[in-house]
Amino acid sequence: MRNPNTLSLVKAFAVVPLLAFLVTTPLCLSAQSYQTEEAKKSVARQKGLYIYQFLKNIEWPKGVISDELVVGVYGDEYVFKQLSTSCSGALIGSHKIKIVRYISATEVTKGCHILYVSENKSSQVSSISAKNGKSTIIIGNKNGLLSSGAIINFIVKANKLAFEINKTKADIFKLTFSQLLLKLAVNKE
Amino acid sequence: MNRLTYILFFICCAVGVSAQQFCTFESKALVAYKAKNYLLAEKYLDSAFSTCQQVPTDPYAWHVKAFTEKNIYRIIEKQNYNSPYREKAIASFLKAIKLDSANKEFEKENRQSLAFLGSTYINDVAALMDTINFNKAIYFYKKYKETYRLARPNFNFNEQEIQFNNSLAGIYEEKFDNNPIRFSEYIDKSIALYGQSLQMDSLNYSANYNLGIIYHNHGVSVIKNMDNEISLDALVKAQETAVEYFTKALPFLKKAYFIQPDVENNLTALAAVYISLHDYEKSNMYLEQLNKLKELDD
Repeated sequence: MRNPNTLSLVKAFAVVPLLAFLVTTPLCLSAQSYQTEEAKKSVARQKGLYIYQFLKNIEWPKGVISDELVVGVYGDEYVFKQLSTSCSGALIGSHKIKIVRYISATEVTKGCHILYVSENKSSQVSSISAKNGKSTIIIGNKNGLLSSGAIINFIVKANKLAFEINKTKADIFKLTFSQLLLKLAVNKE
Repeated sequence: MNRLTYILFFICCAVGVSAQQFCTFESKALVAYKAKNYLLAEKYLDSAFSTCQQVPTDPYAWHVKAFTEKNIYRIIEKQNYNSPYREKAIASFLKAIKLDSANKEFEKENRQSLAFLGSTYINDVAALMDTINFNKAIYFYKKYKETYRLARPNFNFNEQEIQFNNSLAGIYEEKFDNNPIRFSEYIDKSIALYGQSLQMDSLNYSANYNLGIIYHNHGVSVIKNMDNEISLDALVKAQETAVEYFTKALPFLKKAYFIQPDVENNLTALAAVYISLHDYEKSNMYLEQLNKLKELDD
């Protein structure tokens, strides 16, 4: 009764490497620039949050700010967007924050109380400082800008964003910095 | 005495009829099998297995049963992952191999078919590898390994294991991305799986790249999720945490770049991490390389 040849009709299937179906491609394959854009936004967010904290931790002399507290951004779209999103319209004391973007240095009027100048516009810091005098606090973004007219300057320390303060100039401007701000500043000239 | 002889004669006749009945079932099963009527073959085999004492210990009978079940799974049930016939066939092949261990008459065919059935689980793994069905995919991957190991005891699973880990890690990452608060634990699971892949092969591109991206995204999320009203000292602390993640991302992305220097994603990712670390010189260096690469592609 036994028929050993029966199963010769049925060939065992060769084992195919079916794992090829499990393709493991890198994730986040959207636009190439997506990651660098996100990184730039992330850096801008940090700067924006720092600037907002500066506003909270600086006291202007009485009468300097009458109504709105004008925060200017010169040269960095990401920081402008960040500030516009996170703190435009917020109140510092009784003053409403207004974010203004400047395309050229000549647009920066004395009505701008605090001005962020991006790294690529750093060469303009001294001229803006000379033009606006005590009216505008300049936040720089490059090593050495405290001696060019910036009162606060973003620097990088151990891959982290840090800031330094020109205390001497701040005193001339009759600005009062909170103890926390002074404590966290990496340099105080 | 005469009566006892009569009873014995009757019993012998009954056994003889029963044996004859079995042989009929077996031969009928083979005919049905040859005619590719596997369901009918199964029916006759069931009768043979229940009717004759010899059949359940016969390696050939199990061999035929296994092939019948395999073909029902493969052809009639079209490899449906819920079909019970795959497991039935696997059990039958294992029984056949065990009973055939002395003569090894059908050893090769049995193991080949067992390996085939094992490999079909991988199709199910691939089909079910998504954010909803991934637990079934895990189950079927275990079944694949169990079955394939029985068919090929010396088989090295490292390559499959890495591919599986990376695929599942990607699904966990997707699940986390869909709802980072609700599914927060999945990102750690994803990191663990990529880590396991790298333990097996430290130069695995996918694991290196994705692990680097996860750490970088983690750092970016720390910054993104900061409250707008965050205090100055909390901001400094959050920044430190983010930098820890960015720093962790670097070696993995550098290795991915080392493995595949001509892949644009690697250059973009490295440029992004260096932006996050405020090292614009290095970031620009990778962006320049990226532009050169794009020019070459054009």
